[in-house]
Amino acid sequence: MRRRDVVIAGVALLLIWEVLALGTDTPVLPDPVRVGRALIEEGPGRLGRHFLASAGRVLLSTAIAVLTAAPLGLILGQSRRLNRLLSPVIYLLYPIPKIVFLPLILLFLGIGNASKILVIALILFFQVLVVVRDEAVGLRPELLLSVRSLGAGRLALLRFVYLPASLPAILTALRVSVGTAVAVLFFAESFATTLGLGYYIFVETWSRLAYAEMYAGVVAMSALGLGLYFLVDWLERRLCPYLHLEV
Amino acid sequence: MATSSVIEVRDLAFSYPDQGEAVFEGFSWQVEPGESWAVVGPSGSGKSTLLYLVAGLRRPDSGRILVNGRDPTPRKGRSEVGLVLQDYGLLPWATVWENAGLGLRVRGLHGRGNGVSTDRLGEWLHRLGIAHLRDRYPGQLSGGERQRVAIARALVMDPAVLLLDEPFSALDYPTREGMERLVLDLQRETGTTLVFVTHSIEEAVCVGERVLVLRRPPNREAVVFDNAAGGSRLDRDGGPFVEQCARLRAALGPELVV
Repeated sequence: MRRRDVVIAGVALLLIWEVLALGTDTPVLPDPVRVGRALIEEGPGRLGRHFLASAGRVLLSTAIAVLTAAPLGLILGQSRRLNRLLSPVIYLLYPIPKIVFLPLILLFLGIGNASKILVIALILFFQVLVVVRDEAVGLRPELLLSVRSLGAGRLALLRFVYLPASLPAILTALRVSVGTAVAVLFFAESFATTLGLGYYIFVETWSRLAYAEMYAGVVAMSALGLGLYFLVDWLERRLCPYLHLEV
Repeated sequence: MATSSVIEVRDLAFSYPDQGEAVFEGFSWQVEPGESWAVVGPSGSGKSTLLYLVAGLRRPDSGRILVNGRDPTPRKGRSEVGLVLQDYGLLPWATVWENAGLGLRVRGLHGRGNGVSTDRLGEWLHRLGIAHLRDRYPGQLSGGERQRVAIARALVMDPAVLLLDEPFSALDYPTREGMERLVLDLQRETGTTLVFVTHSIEEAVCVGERVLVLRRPPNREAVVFDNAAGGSRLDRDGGPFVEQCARLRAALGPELVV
């Protein structure tokens, strides 16, 4: 996919929006120019602050999830006995939509940052855990044997085999779950807080009928999701160049 | 007891936990320094298992294996053997340079030696004709080039024994013959001991001065086929080579068509 094509697609979507806004002619659907103006006015002030709060929560949750799930996945992938012990637990917990725990988490952690960060971290945790474990289990025995024959102990196997082998899987897990993470954040921020894009969209703009500003919030939320997606793509190109080879 | 053999297998017994029958039972075998051995036998005869046992990657149920007078189990940053497998031995995410230098980096990580000895690694890549590929990834290499990287990775560690497990069976014929010659040349240059597992009788006669014949398990004694003229000195199309192949085929026994 070329960058130029992505830009063209973006422009096309804006044009469709413009046409719809002109056609419906209602304050509920302002055109992109008005929303753009609201974005410029609100961006450096309120909106920017809410955006940073949301972005900070997602990034922190992601970091927590990766730093806990990846090592656990690697351990489970290497120890058949531990994996046999824990995989039924993971099997039961994995498909549960973690957002249903939000009320409980709010009861335990209160309405601050911690509850929002935890619920997103939980979602990402299981995604990363499962792919890293499966990647480690699925490593070709020939590869492990040949590296062990060079005198590699546990540490060297981790450093030279398990870690680089699971990196693309971690990034893929993040790519597929980053959308869910932002969606859950939006939901969690729409009540029980006064900071974050969810609050901005629902409480500060939607309920006050400030439509242009509300759309600016929606655009900011979309930009957050898109930005995270681009970030994962960029990381993959940087960290896993061998996946993008021209043979 | 000091011994001159570079590989000494004594009263080896080994079986896989999930299989009833033993692969080796009271099996003894010796390899002297600088020899080149081929190991032949049908699928399931224990060729690769023997190689992994000698590499210390599997442990005997009983009996003992010594390589260079020592237990061959790879310890942190130290290994007595170099191992080249048929495929999948290279790290897909590492370049030729990183793959070939992996043993040196492993040694560095475990606190032995001071990391990569760049000069020696460069020399080996040159000798194997892959210096120009140093920044490529395995996915960008041909099968023959990949095996050259695997051989460089093993030889740069200066192993007492070079173990190869059907290293060229996935290669096309011209490449394969070139690689067999290369391995023999390298063996002569370095004086290292060679153990070459193959399922091809022709390859065994070409590479091995001595051929260990494994049969349907359990293997109780080392059946050794002398092939003093081996080591590529024979013309592959000539009568003596063909006769030698016929003799080896006979030694394998009628039930074991390879």
